[in-house]
Formats: sequence, C-alpha cells, structure tokens
Amino acid sequence: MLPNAYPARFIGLSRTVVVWLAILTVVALAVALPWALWLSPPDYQQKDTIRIMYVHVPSAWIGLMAYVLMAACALVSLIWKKPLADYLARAIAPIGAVFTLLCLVTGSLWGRPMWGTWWEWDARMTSMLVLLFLYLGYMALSNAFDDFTRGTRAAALLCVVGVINIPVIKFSVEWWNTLHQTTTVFKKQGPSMAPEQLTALLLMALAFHLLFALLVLVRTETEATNARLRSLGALGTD
Amino acid sequence: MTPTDLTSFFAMGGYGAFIWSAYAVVFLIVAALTAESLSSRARARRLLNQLDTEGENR
Repeated sequence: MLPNAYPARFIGLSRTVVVWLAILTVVALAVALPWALWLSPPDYQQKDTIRIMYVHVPSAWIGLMAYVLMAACALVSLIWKKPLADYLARAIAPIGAVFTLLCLVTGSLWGRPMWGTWWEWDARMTSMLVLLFLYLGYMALSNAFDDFTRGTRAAALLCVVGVINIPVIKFSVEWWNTLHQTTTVFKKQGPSMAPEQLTALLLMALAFHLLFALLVLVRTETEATNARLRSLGALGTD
Repeated sequence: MTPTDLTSFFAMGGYGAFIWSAYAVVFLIVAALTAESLSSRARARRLLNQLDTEGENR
C-alpha cells in the first residue's frame, strides 16, 4: 500500500467536525421531534399517520443521496485509485443500507393502516428494495476477496452500474401507475403540504443528514485505520 | 398537560401502535448503527496505538 494511503489530515479534521456534528444532531433532533410528534397538525386524509412520513421521507432521501455519493466515490476510486475514495464508499454502504431499510419498514407501518397492506410489489417499493440489495451486494462483494483492493474494485464497479436504479426510483411514481403517491415536496409549484407539516419534515430531514454526515466520518476513520492495520500485517491480508 | 391530553397524545388518533412502532424502530436501529460505528472506530484506534507503541519499544 502507498505510504500516503492513511489520510492523516482528513482524519484529523474529521475528528473535530464529528464533535460539532454530534452537538448539531442532538439540537436538531430536540427541535424536530416536538414538531414531528406534537406541534404539527394531523393530515386531513392521513390523520396522525402523517407523523410516520417525518421519519419515512428523510430515510428515503438519505438512502438515495447516500447511494449517489457512494457511486461518486466508487467512480473516483476506479479512475484515480484514491484510497480515501475507497474508505468513503465502504463507510457509506452500511449507513445507506440502514436508512433504506428504515424507509421500507416505516413505509410498511404506514401502508398497513392507510392502504390496508404491509407491502405491494409496485414500482416505487420494488425499486427501493433493489436499492437495499445493491447496498448489501456492495458490502458482500467488497469483503468477498482476500485481496482487499480486488474486492473494493469489484464492488465499486457494481455500485457505479447500480446508479441506473436511482432515476428509476425517483421517476417510478410517474412512469408507472403506482400505489405510492407522487412527488409532494420537490414540485415546480412548490410543496403541496401545510407549512407546519413541511417544517416538521424539513427539521427531521436536517437532523437525519447531520447524523448521516457524522456516521460517514466516523466509519471513514475506521476504514482508513483498518487499511493501515492491514498494511502493517495486523489485520488479515492485503 | 393533563392525563387526558397525555392519553390522547399517545393514542395518536387511534394510530398510536403504528406511529410509535415506526419511531421506535428508527430509534433502535439508528442507535445500534451509531454504537457499532463508534465501537469499531475505538477498536481500530486501539489496535493501531498498540502497534505504534510496540514499534517504538522495539
């Protein structure tokens, strides 16, 4: 492994940033939770179950955004062979998988009372499940080889090809006749929901994004340290 | 908040079971992920420190 494979400056900076992100996440959650559970009004159709949306929608956003970020890192690692890009991609995968899973579970818990079903094989839900499998595939593949670099390269290739699923998820509600509702927030005419509900949603989304950034930095340091340990012969083979 | 207010808050208009389950699942899984992320980082740091100390003593 190259001598500069341990990104010392990045890690040094990230340790400080992680502390600030932890504080900001706690503050954002402390403000967002009362809005999500109490201050925002029930929806006229969904009643109180709209409160599930305040965790469901940010989970979905993170699941999608994390995948694009991971694919960008994978692409950088394939072209320029930057170790830091590998560490970032490997750090993001389990986090993205967790938020995608949470999106599916909370969606299911909303679907049961509102649609009368836990699950439907419609385009939005199926493509979201494919996203979860892409994350799991990346994680399995990146650890499937004794040669760390080969595993990471193979997984990076899968990850980049899998980006095709992202527009499919985004436009699934327009291309196919889905049970899932269409875009509510990012519309040309502006979001079609009450301001108090939008406040609750955006505050929760802020808290989720802060937590996501925190987790990525923590796990990137772990990946970098483990790579250093491998190069010193202390962890398996390299 | 009076007890009646609190009861109606937890009932969530009859959808309490679904809403609280959703929040509980999110909290538990996110807490587990955070704990695992922090403990893995601590383990990796500890191993690297050990190696560095051994290297200096040699």
